[in-house]
Formats: sequence, structure tokens, C-alpha cells
Amino acid sequence: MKKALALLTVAIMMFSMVACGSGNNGNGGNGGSGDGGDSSDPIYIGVIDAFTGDRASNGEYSKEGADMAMNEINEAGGVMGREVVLVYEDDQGTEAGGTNAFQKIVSENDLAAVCLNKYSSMVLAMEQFVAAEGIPAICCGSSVNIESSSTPNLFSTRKSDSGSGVTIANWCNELGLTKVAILHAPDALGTGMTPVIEATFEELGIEAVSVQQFATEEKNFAPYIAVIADSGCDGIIGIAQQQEAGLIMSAIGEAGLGVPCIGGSAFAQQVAIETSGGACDGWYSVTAFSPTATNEPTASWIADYEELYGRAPDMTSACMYDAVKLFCAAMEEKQSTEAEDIIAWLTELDGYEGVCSNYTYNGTPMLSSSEYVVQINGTTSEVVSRVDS
Amino acid sequence: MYLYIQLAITGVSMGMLYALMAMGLILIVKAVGVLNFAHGQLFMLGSYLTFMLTHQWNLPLWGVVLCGIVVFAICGAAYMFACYWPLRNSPWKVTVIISTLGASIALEELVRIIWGSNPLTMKPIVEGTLYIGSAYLSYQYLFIILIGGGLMAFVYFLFEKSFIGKLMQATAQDRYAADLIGIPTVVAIVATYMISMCLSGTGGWLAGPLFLVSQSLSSFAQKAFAGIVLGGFGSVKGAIVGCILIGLIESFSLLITDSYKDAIVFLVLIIVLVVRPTGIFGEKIAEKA
Amino acid sequence: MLKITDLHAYYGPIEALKGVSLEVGTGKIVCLIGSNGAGKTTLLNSISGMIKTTGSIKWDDTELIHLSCTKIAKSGIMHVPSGRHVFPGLTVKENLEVGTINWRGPFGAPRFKEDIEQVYSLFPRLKERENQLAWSMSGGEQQMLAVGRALMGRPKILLLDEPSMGLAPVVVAELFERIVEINRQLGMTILLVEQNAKIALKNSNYAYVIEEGKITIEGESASLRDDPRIRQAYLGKLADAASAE
Repeated sequence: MKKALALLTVAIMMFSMVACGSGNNGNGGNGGSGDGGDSSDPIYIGVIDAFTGDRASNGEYSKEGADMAMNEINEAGGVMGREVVLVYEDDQGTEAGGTNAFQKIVSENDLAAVCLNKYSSMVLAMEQFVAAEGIPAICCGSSVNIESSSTPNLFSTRKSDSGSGVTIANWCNELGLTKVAILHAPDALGTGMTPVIEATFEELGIEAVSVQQFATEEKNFAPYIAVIADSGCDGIIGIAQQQEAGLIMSAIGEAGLGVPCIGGSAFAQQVAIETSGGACDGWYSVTAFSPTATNEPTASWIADYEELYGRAPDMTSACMYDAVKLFCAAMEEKQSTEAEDIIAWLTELDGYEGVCSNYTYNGTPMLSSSEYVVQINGTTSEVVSRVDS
Repeated sequence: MYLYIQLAITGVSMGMLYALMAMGLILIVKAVGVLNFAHGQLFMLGSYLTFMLTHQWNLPLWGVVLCGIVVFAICGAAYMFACYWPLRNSPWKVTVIISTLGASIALEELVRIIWGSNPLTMKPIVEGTLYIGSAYLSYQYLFIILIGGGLMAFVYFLFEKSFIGKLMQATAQDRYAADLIGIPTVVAIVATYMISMCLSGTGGWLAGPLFLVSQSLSSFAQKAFAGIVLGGFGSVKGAIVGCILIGLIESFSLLITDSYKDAIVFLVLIIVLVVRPTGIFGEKIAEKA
Repeated sequence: MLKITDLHAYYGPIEALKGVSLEVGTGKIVCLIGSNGAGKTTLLNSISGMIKTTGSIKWDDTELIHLSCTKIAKSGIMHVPSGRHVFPGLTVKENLEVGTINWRGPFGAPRFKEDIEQVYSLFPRLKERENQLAWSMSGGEQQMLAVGRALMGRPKILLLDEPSMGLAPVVVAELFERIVEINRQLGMTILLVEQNAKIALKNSNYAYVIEEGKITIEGESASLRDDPRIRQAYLGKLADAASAE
């Protein structure tokens, strides 16, 4: 009897640990008041990102950007005179956590729209549920699989990796490189972008002398760099998320290879720069957003953000800000919170100026049509070239 | 040719890091007979604590070492009294294991509350890289090998040669008999935990500058555990050799494959265990009636 | 002298000793015999401070009942547990060495050469196997080692828990010869707990019989050997078993 009781207690504890893990980090669910109902009811927009686990730093930036947009909108009178309220849900940085978070947030709240994060693998894992729910969703992932998605209610504030991959390969050409080593992440970003780069290389006559995929949650890059050093390359391309980006730049700096290096967007982000310990100097990065951008309205927004939060924004902050603003603009102009109206508005986008990018609908979920090539200088990056398609 | 030298160097240095963790883990296994599932988190905690000493309190190196030992000793004792002591007489050994599981979660989140979820950078003890021909080794790795080796020698001397070490071994082997002949067993167990924490904590201090001070440092425990099993469970000497082998396998497996590096490590582990189940240096201690 | 008065011992709610009183005169060998579960090991565990008790246990004038086991050991009470409990991963010499913790500091300052020489003279077999790991020794050798280890702690009284358990008769005979020698040579007070009543009564001065947590019979060992109650309950069974071999 005692033994059975103890086992039951353990089982309860374990189940509650799992349940608590996907805890609600936000403003709490509403009582199910309808969208098109009472005109004084708030409009709820969901935001799903990592607030615990390995990727929790991303969640912090997300919240800052989204909150900023929400507060600006509410101070200007809200949408259709109604207050906009953000509901946050923690995906714990895992794909399973993401799908759980999505199902939880849509079942507990009556959302008009939902903002998803930049991790394409996670967005793709959630896709079927997003499609089934029919709720307008804007993410900031850049995978080619999102680009080719047929889910009509899924959008992204980014350009796709294929587009970015072409930009990276062309930049190698600009720099006069002929033998390039590629080190990429095992996720959708790495495996999506690399074939595009290789294909473009073939057209340009550049040889990919070494292509390596590193292991998930890899921390020790020294062996990979040793192989790269042995390959006789004259340039290196790195594709990874922020923490690995910082470690990769650090490891390459240590090896003292002295060749030009180009990275994906994560390489110029704050976390990557900070964690590279200075080895990021000179790296190029193709990125959707740079905290040192000088064009308007981006530059003013960056200044406002820094005043509000005491630190520079990163791409996630900018994309979340734009996503919230896009949804609210859609609802205001269509004077409706219905999904089909919001989606219709998004598919009519033509040259909407966001802070992260210029948005135009071109038949795919990818709404962005601009990118930057930046070069890292000390701890900041300078825009070297802006690429529009 | 230099590629092999380079891979060997990084392999051995990583192996030494795993070995530091493994030694700490084995000591606790020998002291109380349970596998400490929070060991990776103690390694991570060591990293954060030394970050606090070097970058937040700005102590000079000797200050970090002295304070570090004191802080680690306190943490080790606190951990023992929180996770093991209340359950020491429980008839089900599994309760202590579950307690360490709970501690692993609590420690990670505690660290996140205090220091945030962004990975933190830590300066290496000495910046810079040593170049031998076209092979290179950052000074931090050199320190890992030296300090790691020194600690291993210390633990060996303490446990195999000194009187205190024999008392601690006796307590670990048969606590009842140890109590009867007058060994202060509580002190012996606390001391074991303190030493274990010092070993893991030092590993965390050495690893921080290389791999960023972050919650994901706790995953190093997997490789340390693999090293222990490979070298022969329960043997400190085996743990060290096993971990260095794991580091080398990890490094050299890159010549065959890239993304399945970790799978190769565990594949080798499985093969060794099938061929020789007690591990390389495994010894069975049977107790006769 | 060890004097136990009205000792009650508890395992949780179960009362294992129900008011035991006995005495062990200085320099004497006293035995306690009884069958399995009667409370013999419980009594020794009570003296050495391992379980919860009420009553009085006095060694000379020191009350032991509320002292910690470490303090009790320091007072000169050495309990050799049943089943030997040698430290399996240590050598014979190391097993003996850790026994000295009782009077030596943790850093092992004073020398212990004389103590170990004395143990070796009592148990020459141990000297032969000085560097052998304890787990690999035979039962008899382990028992000698356990007693030797206790002696290293410079005790004033030895509590021996079923030393004959699991050992062949020849080995048991040799062991008890050594035990008597310890008593004679060192003047060591010994409380001997045994299931083997025959050998216990043969090698002791005074005896107690314990049944279900209570002392039922006591007396000079010589006279108890001829006591019909003892013969019936304890020696009878053994006599049958001996003739069946």
C-alpha cells in the first residue's frame, strides 16, 4: 500500500513537472469573449516563443518588440477603438514544446492572430495545427519549406533562405573567392540554405572544398575547424543560430586562418557578437536586420527601442514588432477581426514599410523583399550593401 | 599530418574536461551508491559561480582559486544535505535518484533566475594561442590539461595513499562497519561531496571561457558518463582513461562523418560493452559471506 | 564493567528488547545465546549506539545510552558485527589501519606499528595476506580481520556478534582459541553473542539466554552446560545436527 502510494505520488509529480514546463508566461487567457462581439472587449494576439530553456534569450527580445508595438497601438487608441492585448506562451525552445504551446494558446484564448518565432523547424512542426486552426499567423523563419508551404494563413516577415543563399554565394563571388568551406547547422536553416549555395556556386564556378554539418547543440567546434584548415580554402561560410555562430567565429579566430568569412543572419546578431569574444571582427553577414541600419523608419525605431529597453534590438524584436503592427493595420483597415479579412489584407501587401523590411506579397508566404550585407566592425556591424529583389 | 595532431590535441583536452566531471561523479557513486543525475548541473553551476567570482566580483586569480574552493565546498555540502541526507535511510534507493533529478531541474532554473538565459562570456585564464607548426592549441586548453592532470594526481594521492582517503573509502564501502569502528561517517560523506563539487566546479571554470557560460553546459555529463562506463564503472583510473578515449573518438570521428559525431561515440561505447561488459578496467568486487 | 539495566529497544513501533538487564565483569568473557530473532544483534546494536533505546547502559561510570556511535567507540566499546563487514576494496593492512581512527587524528599522526604487530602475532594468517584485498579472503580470514580491526581501535571491551556464523567447525575452533587468547593475553572484556550455544558455553565464564527480547536464564557457563533446559532447547538440536553430519 505504502509503495503504491509512493509510486502514485512520483507519477503525479512527474506529470505536473511536464505540465508546469509549458507554463503560461503571459497575460493570462481571457474568458472566451468573442472576436466580433462587444466593441469594448480587447483584441487578443498570441505570441509564442521560448521563455525557458536554451533559447530563452530569443523570447526576451520577442517580448520587447511585441510589447513595444502593442503599447504604441494602444496609446494611439487601439484597433477599432479596442485595446490590443498580447497573450504569451512558452515553447521551451523545443518543437514538441512549440506544438503544445500553440494548441494551448488557441484553446484557452479567442485569438485574432498569432505571432510565431524565427526557428523554421519549429514553425514547420506547428504548421499542420496552424492550418487546421485557420488563424492568421506571421512567423520570422526563413526556411525554404516555409516558402513552399501551401498553408494560406501562414506568413513570414523574412526573405527565404534560398534568396539569402543566393545572396551569400554572390557575395563570395564579389570577394573573388574560388575555394570555399561551408560549416552549417543541422536544422532547417542549415540544411535548407546549403544546397542553394552549392547550386549557385556551380553556376559561378566556385568550388565548395569542404561541406560539414555540425551536431545538434554542438559546443566544441575546434575539430571541425581543423578539418576546414586542412582543406585549403580561401573563404569560409558559416550557417548557424546565434550561440553556435558566436562559438564558430571564436574557434575560427583561434585557428588564425585569415580568410574572409561570411555568415548567415545570426552571425551579426548581438548574442553572437558578444559570445565570439572579439573574433567576429571582419565577418560578413547576410541579415534581415541590423541594429545599425541607417534607413528610415528603421533608424528612428532603433533609437526609440534603445531608450525604452537600454539595449539594441535584434532581428527578432524587429520582426515581432512588425508582425503585431501588420496584424493591427490589417484589422484597422478592414475594420474586422475575422481571419479571412486579415489574410486577404496580407495578400494585398505592396510596399508596406516595416522597421525590419519592406513588405510585398509575391505569391509565397515570404513577405520581405529586402536584405542587408553587413560587415562586423568591433562590436557593431556596418551595412555594406542592401540587396532588394 | 598536422590535422591528426590537431584532432588529437583537441580530443585529449576535451577528454580531460569530461574526466574532471567523471571523477566527481564516481566519488559520489562510491560514497553513497547512487548515480547523481544533477552532476551536469553542478558542472554548469561551477561555471556560473566562477563567472561570478571573476567577472562580477572581479577577484584576481589567486582570489578566484581560494574563494572558489570555499564556495564549491559550501555548495557541495549544501547539495548533500538537501538531496541525500533526508533520504539516506529510505528503503528505496530510487528516492535519492529522483531527488537528484529534481535538483537538476531546480539548479538549472535557479541559475537562469539569477544570471538570465543569455549565455555569458568568460575570459580565459590566459588569452592567446600556442602555435606549433600549423597546429594550434589555445592556452586555455593547455590549462585544462595541466590543472586537470594536477587535480587527478591530487585525488589519486588523497584516495589511494592518504589516511583520510582510506577512511573515506571505508565509509563508502561499508557505512555500518565504518560507524562501528568510530569513523565520523557524516563528515566523510560531506567531504566526499565537497571534493566532488570542487572537481566538477573546476571543470566548469575551465570550460566556461571555451564554451560559454550557459545552461546547456550541463549536457557535458552525457559524455562523462559514457567515459565512466567505457573505462569500467566504479574505477577512478578507468573513468579518466575512458573519458580521454571518448574525447579522442569524438574528435577523430569527424574524419568519417560530421553530424553523426555523437552517434559514433555511443556506437563505440556499445561495441566495447558487448565485447567487455565491465569496461576496460572494470573490476568486480564481490563480498564473500 | 559493562552494566545494562532495563534496556528497551525499538525498531519503529516494534519493541525488540523488552527490559533486558545484564552485566559483563571486567576481564571476563560473557556470552549471550539465543535463536534467530531473539534479539541478540539488537542488544549489541543498542550498546554500540546504532538504534533507539531507553534504559541504562553503563560502562564503568559512563552512561552510554544517549551518546553517538562515534563517542561510544571512543569510550572503548568495539562492536564486531555479524557477517564480518570487512571493507572489501581495502587490503588487510588498510582494513587494520582504518581501525586506528578511534584514537588517532584524521591525519594519522601517531604511529600504529605496535598495534598492528600485536594483531599480527594473534593472527599470523593476516600478516601473510597483508596486501590482499579483503573481499578475496575466506570467511574465516575475514572474521579474523574484523576482530583484528576492532583491536586496532584500542578497545576496552569487545562485542562479538556471531563470529562462528557460516564458518566450518575447524575454523570456528581455531577462531575461538584466538578469542580466548585475546582475553587472556590482553585482559580484554568480551561480550560474545552466539547462536552456536555449545562453543559459546565452552569458551566463556558467564552466560545469558535471550528469548523474544527477554533474558530467561543466566548463570555460570560451566553449570549451564549441564542445565537440562539448555540441553533441550539449544544443545539438543546441535547434538542431533552433529550426529546427522
